[in-house]
Amino acid sequence: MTTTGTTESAAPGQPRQGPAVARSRPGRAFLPWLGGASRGASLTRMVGSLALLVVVWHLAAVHLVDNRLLLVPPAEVALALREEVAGGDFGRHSATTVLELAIAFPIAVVGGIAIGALLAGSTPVRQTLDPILTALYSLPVVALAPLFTAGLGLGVTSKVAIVILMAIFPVITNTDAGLRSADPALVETARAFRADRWQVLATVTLPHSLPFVISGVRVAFARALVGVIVAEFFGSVSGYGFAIAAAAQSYQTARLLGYVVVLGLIGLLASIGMSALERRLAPWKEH
Amino acid sequence: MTSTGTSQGRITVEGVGLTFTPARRDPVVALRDVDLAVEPGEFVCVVGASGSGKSTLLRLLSGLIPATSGRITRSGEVVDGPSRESAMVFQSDNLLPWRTVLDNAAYGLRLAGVPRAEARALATERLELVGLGHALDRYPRQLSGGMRQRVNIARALAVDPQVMLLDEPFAALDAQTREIMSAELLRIWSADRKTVVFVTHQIDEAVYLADRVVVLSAHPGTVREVVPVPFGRPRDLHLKRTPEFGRLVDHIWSLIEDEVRSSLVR
Repeated sequence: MTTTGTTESAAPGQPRQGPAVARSRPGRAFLPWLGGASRGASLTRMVGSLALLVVVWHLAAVHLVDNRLLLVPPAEVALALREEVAGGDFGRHSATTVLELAIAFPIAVVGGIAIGALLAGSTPVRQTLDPILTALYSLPVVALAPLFTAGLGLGVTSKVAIVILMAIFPVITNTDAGLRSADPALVETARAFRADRWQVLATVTLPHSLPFVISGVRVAFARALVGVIVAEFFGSVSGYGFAIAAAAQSYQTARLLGYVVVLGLIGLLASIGMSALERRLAPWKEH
Repeated sequence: MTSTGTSQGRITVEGVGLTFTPARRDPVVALRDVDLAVEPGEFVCVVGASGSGKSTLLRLLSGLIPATSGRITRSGEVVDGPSRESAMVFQSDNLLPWRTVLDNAAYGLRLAGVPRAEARALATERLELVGLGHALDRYPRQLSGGMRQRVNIARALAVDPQVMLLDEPFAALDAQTREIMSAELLRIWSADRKTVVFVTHQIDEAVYLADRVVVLSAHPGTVREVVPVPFGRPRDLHLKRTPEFGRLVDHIWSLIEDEVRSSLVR
């Protein structure tokens, strides 16, 4: 394995001969393609950068970090993760965390949009709630996690509460901002064509606010992921956060990192999904 | 005379004034005692120094803002709000970024409750008229300034108004594009002769386009003089290089020159 790697990496350094020149021709076309916007190119870029991460991780674990409690090579992590899957623990933890997110995240999104719309629609409501919301948004909500665990128990409910509190604020503020920032010139144009209030809302204000809401949802998911893990740290019987905390207490670094990798993949997939949603719902934007 | 069948597209402005009071400031008289009559099918341009209330007058005619005194009628009826009788073309194209060229042009029709397929068919016709039949599926950000302004005009034409109100529609375009666009506007207008009120700060543009040029004076805005334009139609761009054309432009310029100069140092 190692020897083939060395031979391959040495090849470009050798003097250029017939076949090497022939090979470089498609290479010239490949680079612009890779920099392009096609779906295949962006998929290739992603696989490439993930592969780079794994290589750097491997090199760091083998040559740089001696402390095996801190870092182990990716191959060991993959092995540990396979054992988790085979033993059924991975499925059990996944079910819990996914269930918590599946309940809490839609509530946060729908509730955030509703509250944001309320704020945008009524100046007195916004003036009253704005300071409260700002204070709550800047508050590290995870600080309340022990309280929720004590009050709502070790089960799903306390996690749902934390995730909603973590995720709802970016949706509220972005919805409010999006609904209030529609171009007054477009509103005047609609009125000149005799649009009534609802037509202005449907044809100007809502389409304008859509990209704002989507980017709020994107931020909200990242916060939801943090919220659910931290909430599980503070008291739970299953879930990724529970598994990570348990692995840490028994010094099983490979197992711990396995779940971290899974969380990273979930974040990545969510981000890709959100971009696809944005392209579909807001095709007029430049992506 | 004001409410007969022949008044379709006629605009009358009688003693109209507009005074507004900014917060914690003295009231500002934007327009005072404006009298004007625009005949059906007439092309009238409005020029004046900045601050003469050109755009304000147009918004009054469209019904977007109410006058504080006087009376405006359109096709024999008192203007008390935006109407399907008139369509407005704004200086910035004000296209909806999330709609394609076709759906932007169909916008006014859709707001009026015209079914989508019918609205799109009518809008397509108007877009072909302004030379954009090939760009129906594009989004505004993919268009040049001149193309966007064509869509803006097609959107107004699509609702088939009696009256077209244009507020410096070519001001943001470069000089060459502006020449071409004004020639095309005349071609489109001559096809069905709607009543047009066209606000501009380009005196040569006004003389080239109009049957009559309304010259406003500033502070307060009121009608200084209504200058008839004697040139026959159809007109082409060569008209702009004749001595008669230059004399008329000079005359109008002399009417507003002092105000333009003083507005520069105010």
